[in-house]
Amino acid sequence: MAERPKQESAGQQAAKNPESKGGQEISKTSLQQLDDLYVQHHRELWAIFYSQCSDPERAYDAVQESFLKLHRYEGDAIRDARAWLLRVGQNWLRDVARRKSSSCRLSPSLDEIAKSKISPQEVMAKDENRHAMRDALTALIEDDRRVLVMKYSLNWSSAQMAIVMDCSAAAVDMRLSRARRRLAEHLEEQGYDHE
Amino acid sequence: MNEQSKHPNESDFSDEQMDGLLSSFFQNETPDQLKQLPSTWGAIQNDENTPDENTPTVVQQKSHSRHRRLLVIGSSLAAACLLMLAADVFFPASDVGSGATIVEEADNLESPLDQDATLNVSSEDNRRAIDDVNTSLEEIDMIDLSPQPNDDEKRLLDSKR
Repeated sequence: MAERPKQESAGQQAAKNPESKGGQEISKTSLQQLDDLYVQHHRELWAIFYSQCSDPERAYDAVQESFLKLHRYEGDAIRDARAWLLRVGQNWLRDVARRKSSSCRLSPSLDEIAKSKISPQEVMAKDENRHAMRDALTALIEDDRRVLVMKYSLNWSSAQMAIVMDCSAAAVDMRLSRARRRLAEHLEEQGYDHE
Repeated sequence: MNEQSKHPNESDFSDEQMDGLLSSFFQNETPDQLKQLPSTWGAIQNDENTPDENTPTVVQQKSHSRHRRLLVIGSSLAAACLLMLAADVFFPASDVGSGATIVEEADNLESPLDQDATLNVSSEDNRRAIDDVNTSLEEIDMIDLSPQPNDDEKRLLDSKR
């Protein structure tokens, strides 16, 4: 299994350099090019897709789908690979949502429960909390979800987010605080066990 | 905390609690498969293996298109040849000449009628028949332009009076 990529995502590069186009022009991709692009963009793409569907597996499917399509793509040269991948993944997510197909959510298998040192009740409680958090995130507006994903999934700083969101760092902090508060309210409504 | 004394925007979760909660949530939320590079995916590996199997099909398609192109060129040439042949049959090359040639040929043309039209009336030719009922120019000269009634006609006229 490949090691977790350490390179900066295009979003972080874009955050550091707003003039950056987020990718080089590519035509038919080789496996090496595909891997390089994946290392560069996969984390950010997954986070963006996740902020749209609040489903980690479906967001991962969208990442895979976009890279598969890039590998099979034989059309004109792509000027901005990141934007292309993002558009393909978002279109795929939209199609899936239109078909109302439910994603196959992974539940903890019996083997994992057997190997785990914690009790099955605790495993189930954690699973319930995770689902409650997902539901609460889904209940948020997309802007709130996006700012939370950028902060906690991509670990971006307020300054980086400010460049992407085209506002000041103080405004980002304000949005972040409001998003956290709204999320907490949804969690309380669902009876989330924060102990 | 007492529900009645709670501020509408105030929740049971502090900012620090939410920070920790969200950090751990997103850490667990990220799928492990996300770390796998595309070159290890089954679908990509299948794609990489399929071109060898498809190569003959692609070559065959190219061959088909080449045959089709040759067929089109051949049929176009045949049609052009037929057109030229038809033009040669219906419009021979002798018909197609310059204006001077046509005038010259018209000058050389002599029909029998034209020859009769050039008879000399003052010679012996005026006794020669010029049509199928033996009409000659001489007979035309002997036509009486102020004819007198003959005896029978005179008697008939007298009886009427």
